[in-house]
Amino acid sequence: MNDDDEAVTGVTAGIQDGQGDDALRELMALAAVGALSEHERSELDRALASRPDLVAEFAGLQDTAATLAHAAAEVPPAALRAGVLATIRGVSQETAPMMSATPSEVAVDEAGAPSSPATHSGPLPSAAPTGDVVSITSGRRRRWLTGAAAVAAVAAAAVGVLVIAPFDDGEDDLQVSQVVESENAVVIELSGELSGLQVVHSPEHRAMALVGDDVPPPDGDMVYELWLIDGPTPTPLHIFRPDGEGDVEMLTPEMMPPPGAAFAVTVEPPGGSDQPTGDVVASSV
Amino acid sequence: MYATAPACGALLGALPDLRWRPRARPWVWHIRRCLDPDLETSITRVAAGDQTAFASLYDQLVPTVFGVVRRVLRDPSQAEEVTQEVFVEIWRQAPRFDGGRAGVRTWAVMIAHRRAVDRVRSEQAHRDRHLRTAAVVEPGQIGPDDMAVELEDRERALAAMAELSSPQRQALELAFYDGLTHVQIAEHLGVALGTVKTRIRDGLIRLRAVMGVHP
Repeated sequence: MNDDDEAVTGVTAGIQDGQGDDALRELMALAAVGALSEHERSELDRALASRPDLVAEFAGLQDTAATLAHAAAEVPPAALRAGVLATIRGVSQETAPMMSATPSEVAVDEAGAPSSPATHSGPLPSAAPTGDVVSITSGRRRRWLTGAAAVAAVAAAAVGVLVIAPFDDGEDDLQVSQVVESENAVVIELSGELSGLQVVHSPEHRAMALVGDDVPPPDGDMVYELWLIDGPTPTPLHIFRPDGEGDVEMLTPEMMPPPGAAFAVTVEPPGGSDQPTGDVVASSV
Repeated sequence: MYATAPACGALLGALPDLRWRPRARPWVWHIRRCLDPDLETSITRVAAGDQTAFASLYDQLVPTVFGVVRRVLRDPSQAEEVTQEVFVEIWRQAPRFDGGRAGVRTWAVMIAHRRAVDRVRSEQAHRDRHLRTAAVVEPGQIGPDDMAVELEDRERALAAMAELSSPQRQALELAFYDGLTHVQIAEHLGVALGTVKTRIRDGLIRLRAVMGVHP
């Protein structure tokens, strides 16, 4: 018991004293093979939440630790399969991590007409039938992200995007430049007939920004609208027009893109739309 | 999104120390998809509620999941019960699977390992437990030809572990298969805590180096 207490104190002290990355790396190796107590593991998880740069390294250690599992691989009795498949039929799935600070999602019923805002609970809506990863079948949406492209968007399996643990402190007056210049910023290029736009997200600031350079304005008094695609229903993020010099700078604080999410920009009437109506002029797929 | 993606073979041959480097991250995810493209696709469909995809995921993952659970728990009927619990959790958590971290296979292994160790540790709290020495466990039967890939994985993993020094392998096995904490391992072996930590860390680094070399 005493030894355990001392060990725990040592772990916490090591992290707090900032004995540096070596101490954290040692703990990560122990955690990867399950050699930490529950308490120590919670301490490590908390430390890693503020060190997104070490998260990928930890994942690599877990990959290596999994070698011991592969070495023990064994086929179970065939009867187990039927039992598992039957059991999950009655089990609802967790919801995907929700974003904060966005307009509420507008759910769409099967006829494609907007219904009242719904929060996800239980399995994802049946608008995603078996065999389609993302079903976008409503006529007016077919124009912009159909079958294969939609599958590609989601099956890209979160290339370069990351959801991290809840943050501790809000940032006052976070600037777009801080997000763009943050050390571990991830850049997502948007391409299409409209060029020059990027979505940048910063794990450090837990924020996203839309930036653009030499972006031509839309015709007349139309506007551009940025959408997050993370399921059958796109989420509106920003309505924007480039300034006189073709620059775009929009900040979405307190938000990180969920895994597998894609982005698209459409042209919309002034004031934007609840759901995309115009053509897609840029996207991340 | 990226200029060009290198071919899987070229990437795997040049597998570096996977430390964090900004802008290098996309290649890390690409590597993982090279390793298990089917699993990455399946998990996305499972996250959308696709039960056919889940059955496929089960078939691909169950030898590794059952294997690690069985090895930790020893008791076959407990192992089946916990394996089922693991797959229910995989089903439930699929929408939260973060493709930005470890791949699907590792994610599933970690869920399985954690559950099995929790079960072992909670039993240990109630009764004295014999510490088993790291006995050689006969490899379980891997079945017909469609298991060929799994067999190859297992053989490769066993060969890699044989490349570790005995103390390193022993420390890793006591932690992973016997569910001991580093404190308990130190007590069991009668060595200093620092020695255990070093053996585990060095053992993992060596294992990573060995596994990174593809024939």
